[in-house]
Amino acid sequence: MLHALMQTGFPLLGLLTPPSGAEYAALIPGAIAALVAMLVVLVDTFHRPGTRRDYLAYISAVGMGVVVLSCWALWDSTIDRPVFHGMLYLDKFGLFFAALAAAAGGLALLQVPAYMNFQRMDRGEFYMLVLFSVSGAIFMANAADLLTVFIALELMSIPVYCLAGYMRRDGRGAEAAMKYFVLGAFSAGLMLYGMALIYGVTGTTNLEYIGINLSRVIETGAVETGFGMIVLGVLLVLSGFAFKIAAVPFHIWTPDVYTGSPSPGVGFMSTVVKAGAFAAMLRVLFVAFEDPMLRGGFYGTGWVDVLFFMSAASMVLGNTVAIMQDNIKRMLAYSSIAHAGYILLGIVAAGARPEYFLFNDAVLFYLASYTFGTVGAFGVLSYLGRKGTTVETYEDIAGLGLKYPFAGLMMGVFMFSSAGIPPTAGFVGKLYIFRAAVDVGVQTGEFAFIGLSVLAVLTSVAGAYYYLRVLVCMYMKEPTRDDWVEASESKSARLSLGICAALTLALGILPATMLELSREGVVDFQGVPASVREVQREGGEQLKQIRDAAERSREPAPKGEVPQG
Amino acid sequence: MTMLIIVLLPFLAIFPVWMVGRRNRFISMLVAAATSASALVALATLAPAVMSGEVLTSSWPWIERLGLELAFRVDGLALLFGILILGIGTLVIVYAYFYLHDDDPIGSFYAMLMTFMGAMMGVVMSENVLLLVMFWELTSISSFLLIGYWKHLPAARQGARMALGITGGGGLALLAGMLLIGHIVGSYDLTTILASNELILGHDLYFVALVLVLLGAFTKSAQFPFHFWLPNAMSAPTPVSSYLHSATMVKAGVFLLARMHPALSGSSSWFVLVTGAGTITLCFAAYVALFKHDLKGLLAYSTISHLGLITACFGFSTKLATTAGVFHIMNHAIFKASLFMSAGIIDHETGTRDARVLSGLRHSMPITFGLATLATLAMAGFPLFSGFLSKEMFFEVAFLSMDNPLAGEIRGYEWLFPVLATFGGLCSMAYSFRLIGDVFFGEENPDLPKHPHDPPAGLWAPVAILVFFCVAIGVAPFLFQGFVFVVAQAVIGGPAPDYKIAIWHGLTPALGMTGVAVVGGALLYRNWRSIHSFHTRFAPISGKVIFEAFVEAAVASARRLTAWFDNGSMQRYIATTIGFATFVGFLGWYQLGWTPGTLDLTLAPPVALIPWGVLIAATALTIRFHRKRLAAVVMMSVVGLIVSLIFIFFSGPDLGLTQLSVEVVTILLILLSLYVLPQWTPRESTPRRRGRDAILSCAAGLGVGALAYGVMTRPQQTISDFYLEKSVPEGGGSNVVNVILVDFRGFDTMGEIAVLMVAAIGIVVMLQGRRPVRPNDVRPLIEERFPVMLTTTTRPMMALILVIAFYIFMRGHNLPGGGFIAGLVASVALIIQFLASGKTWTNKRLTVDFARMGALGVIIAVCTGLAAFLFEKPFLKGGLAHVHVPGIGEIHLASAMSFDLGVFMVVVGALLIIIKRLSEYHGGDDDEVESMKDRR
Repeated sequence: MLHALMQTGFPLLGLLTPPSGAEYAALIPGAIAALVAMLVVLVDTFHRPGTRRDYLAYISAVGMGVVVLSCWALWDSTIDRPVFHGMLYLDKFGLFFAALAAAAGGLALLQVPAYMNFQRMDRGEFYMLVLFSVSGAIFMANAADLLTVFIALELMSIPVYCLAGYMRRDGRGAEAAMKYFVLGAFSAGLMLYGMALIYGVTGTTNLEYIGINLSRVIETGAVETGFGMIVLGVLLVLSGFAFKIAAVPFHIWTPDVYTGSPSPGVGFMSTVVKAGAFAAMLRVLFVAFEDPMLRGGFYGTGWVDVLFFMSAASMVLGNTVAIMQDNIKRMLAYSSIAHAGYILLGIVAAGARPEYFLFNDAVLFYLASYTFGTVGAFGVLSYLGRKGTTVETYEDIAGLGLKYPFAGLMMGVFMFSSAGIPPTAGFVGKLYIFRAAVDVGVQTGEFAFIGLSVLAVLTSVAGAYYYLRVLVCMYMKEPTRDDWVEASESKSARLSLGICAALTLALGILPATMLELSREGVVDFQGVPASVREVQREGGEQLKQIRDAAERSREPAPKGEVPQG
Repeated sequence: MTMLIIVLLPFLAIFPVWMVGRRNRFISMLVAAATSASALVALATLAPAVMSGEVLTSSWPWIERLGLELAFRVDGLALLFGILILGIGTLVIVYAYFYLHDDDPIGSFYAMLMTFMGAMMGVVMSENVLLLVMFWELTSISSFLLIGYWKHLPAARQGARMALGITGGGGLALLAGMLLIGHIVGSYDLTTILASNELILGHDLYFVALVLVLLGAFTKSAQFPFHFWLPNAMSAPTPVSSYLHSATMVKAGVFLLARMHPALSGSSSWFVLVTGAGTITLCFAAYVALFKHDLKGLLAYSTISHLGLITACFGFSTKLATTAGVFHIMNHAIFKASLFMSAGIIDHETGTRDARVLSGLRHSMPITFGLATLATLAMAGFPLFSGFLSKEMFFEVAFLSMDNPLAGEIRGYEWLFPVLATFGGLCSMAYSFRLIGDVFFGEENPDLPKHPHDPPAGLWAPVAILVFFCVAIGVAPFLFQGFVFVVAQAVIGGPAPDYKIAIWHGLTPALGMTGVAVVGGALLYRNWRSIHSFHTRFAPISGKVIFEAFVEAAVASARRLTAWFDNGSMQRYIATTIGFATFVGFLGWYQLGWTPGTLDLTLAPPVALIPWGVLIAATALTIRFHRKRLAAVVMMSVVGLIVSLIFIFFSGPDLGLTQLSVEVVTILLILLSLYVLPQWTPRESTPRRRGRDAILSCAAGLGVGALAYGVMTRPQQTISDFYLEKSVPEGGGSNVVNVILVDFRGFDTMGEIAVLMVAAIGIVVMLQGRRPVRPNDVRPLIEERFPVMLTTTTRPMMALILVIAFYIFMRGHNLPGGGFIAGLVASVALIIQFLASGKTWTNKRLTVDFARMGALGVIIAVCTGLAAFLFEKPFLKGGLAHVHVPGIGEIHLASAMSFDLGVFMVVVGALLIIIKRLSEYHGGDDDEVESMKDRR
């Protein structure tokens, strides 16, 4: 089974020829992010001591805006094969995540000045770390090779480890950084181990070739005579991803790290890192591990089943434990575990059979809706502050809703969205994911899917309980502490919160554009095997029809009141 | 367009009402009332078409991909509810203006009320079921805010949260149910769904979908066993109760039953579930209401009971039954709203709503007395009042249900329905008597918190309007018959029954049941005290207690889970992660089994066994002595040495050399850092934890070992051949490892040395200007710091080692060696000087700027790469030259050589920067010792 490399005729010597000009476009979003990071470092060197660093936030945000624009510009010039000798993709799926990561990064950075001024930790490194991490997340979403996945993963993670320990005068920060780093390094090691095993079986690290070679290995029956090296590799890679997305049972670091890290940083790490890991995970699962044996149908064991249980466990554990937290950051940490469970539900549904591939657009949309709501929620925690200490417990925010109407209103929007209450993005996201699961359940006749979506619905009731507790505290309780919590005067933080809230509402009220974008992202997902490509083609045609129909319907007035007997 | 306006009007009024409310309460009220009144007028314009039997729908695309569109429909059912919501809403708005205290912020109250009104209108007018669910959840949220309006009351907060928990959760279940139905039918349009009764009933998932939808309806309409939130929501201001808990929100549940009736009814599960829940609720709540002292509590349970009646009607699901259901919805909304308002007036004027305290109010509050009595009679179902007619119909239906074909599993017990119905009616009669008798009759109580008198017209006028309708319907039912039948048609999904709503139907069983109820009710009221004492002997089992126990259990289990997983101990986190990773690993073998490969095992010569034994022993000893740091380091150096030997044994001299030098440098670095650490590691872990760790590490180690064994006993093809083949012709060197490093993979190496330099600079910067915190138990510096033997041997040795380094460097391209190893060896030579002679002595003599040296190394490497451009070749393309040097022999000068020089310089530079900085980190003792020596 190890001859596979030679059999597929992997173009070893082709690696020596330089890539063609058009391929360099694949680097643009990630490279811009890295360049902005370097620019920020450079500008910070000339910083006049004693003045505020708000301008760095604006520079970063503008830079991230440029990344988003670059994704928009590249949207229609994607390439239908991997570039740089099978290292990167340039497709709408990757661009979707690149834009999402950049937007979340920019929004999180705009909140930094408010937080850092409360904490008296106004330093320039924060921006640089976040920007480099964004660059890693972008490359991760575009990765076409396990090596790219791994290097991008490290590029994304290492700055975040530093972010976790950024509040170096706070003991919890050191603890968070230490725990995150040690456990993160360990999980990265596991993942690398898995990748090595897969390389051992297939002789390649390129995702598409892995897919082809794995199928061949499985066809020749080598698996039965072998000793589960493939399965082991797949599971280890999965567990590495599970760590990054904070899914049970690899979630254990989350609450401590979220509590100890600076709030805007948590907003960033709970969204961008998660989105990046999800993107790469989808890529690896659907490109490299797409063989039906690895996929596992239902109760035939495969990654669908593993993710199924992870999803159920994450939803239950995350939601149950979040109820009793007194610290909002900790509550959000557990709720982010629960959100990972919901997203996994979407992946499980879409992964059940090749023909359900298009349901992945629910995953994309959910991630987008989750991102803005979460960055915003941590943004409110950054926006409120007390000199020298952070605002993070329910007690801290008691009664602030009426005192600072802006912060209260924003928190309301974000909590509603996280709880999945209309008319916010979270509702549409949940609806979309649940619908995908129910559809798959009904079509396959597997009641387990329906059971899982019912479980998801039930657990989100618990979600409604603890999210609304935040609002109850903000609006219905009297402040219990004497030292006053203040709202920051930072304009950038307000801007960021406003944008997050506007996007959250926009995705909830007029989600059509985002739904279309996520559908396009899935339809243009490169590297999938032929069976899925057929599904994609149909999806693309459907999309075109819908768009044409929308064009046509825009012309005449809406349907009138038609009486029906 | 009218429909969209009707739904949007309340929402549009939210902000104006809120803003104005801060300045002028009256204008805020006017705006709110005008909004709902104009929506009512707009609805009225649609009424003629609806009355002629049409179903009006209109839709605007919204999110087509989700099957969600802004589609509205007005049929009889929607019209009835629309009138109730907007009509009673207008009255409540007026009532609330007079009811609320001047300190209560009225703007936000009206804003929330308008939100709720809009949401309710959305629920009843939705054509798309997903839209319906959205509005449904919005009613939960806005009612949450309204119930918690008096936020200074803890009970209000608690009640609000409970209401939201129950109804919001039910809403989510409803969402799941609607998704299922939508999938079964293939459309989310009500029109399509309502027409697919057979399709839905025949589907496998019908029961699941039915249960989910019913969960939504029952939670909202406070049906048993979800009824308990409603009494707890009574801490809301009375206008809220009279609006939400009589006419609108709790009616949303029965609305849903009515709405989905054509699609879901007709099965025995529908009959059993709906009728069962309705009947139980009817009797249970009516019985509990008897013993409530709080007027609003009594009304709340009465509401639950009446909702049970309506639910039971829809459960019977005959034409007549559904007609009775919609008729009672209308009647109940009207009389219950007026009763809640009356209770509010009493509360407002007397300062209490306790039936035990209130008494004899007929003298001081004659208007209220009159209105409340009329409304109560309607509630009790007295002839000539509206409640009588619908209750009569219900009795008839309950009687007829004795031969319902859908009874299913409960066949044989159908006689229970009329009996229970009569019992419910009886209790209802009794609590109605009690409501009037206790509050208005009897002696006047002089000790009321306030002096009672009739309220201003603003408070009683809305009640009067509602009471007027109670009486009008009761006296002249034929005026309303047409309307009720149009509504019933929408629920039945076909023509209305052949029935005439009238006061007198002759001597029917229903009349007999009414008679029993009236007489029994009167008797019950007379003997209320003895029954009450009987009732209080039993501990109340309220759903609230169960709900709270459930919540507490959830919290407790969450706490336990947290304590177990999330106790902050990193050891536990790591153990969990490793444990799951190992488990995942074994999962693979569990699925596919593990078999060793087929390759023959290599023979182990006896000589090799000795180092292996030493390796195992050293490893074991490291664990044994790991608290004694120095001993542990010594053991580890043994392990490292043997690993290098193993590499050499397996014909990897290059690797062995590298390992050896890396090992030396690392051990030296660890020894340096031991300087600032205590001699012993404290003993912290418990035996239990050590046991856990031992098991985990054994499992993980065995797993990795088995994996390695499995891999190595299988045939494998390495990529070595490719490099072996290409090494000499393409790279110009026969040491393949070195050729890979500096030629094939030169680009990587260049990146790595750059990283190495950056890391070194990073360490330097981090240690800049820091002093170690000296632990207390560090042994004092020994007098003789620099042992004579070491000092004297290392100095001549240095030259020797450097020569060896040069030798290794030069031969590197063809034989084991190369820039990297040479760099390490040279570094060792220099580092030993620091150890042996102290930093002051060494620094004085070693004046090389190592930072510059490292930087120069990077530059040389880059320039070598760039040089290839001069020959118009790609970056880092190698070149060859053979130079004959007399005395030494032929020297193989590849361009790789200069690249290797760069590597060498970087390694030496980086290591020495770090070592020098570390030596300074140790503080000034060195200088002190020196200066002391000088002084001597």
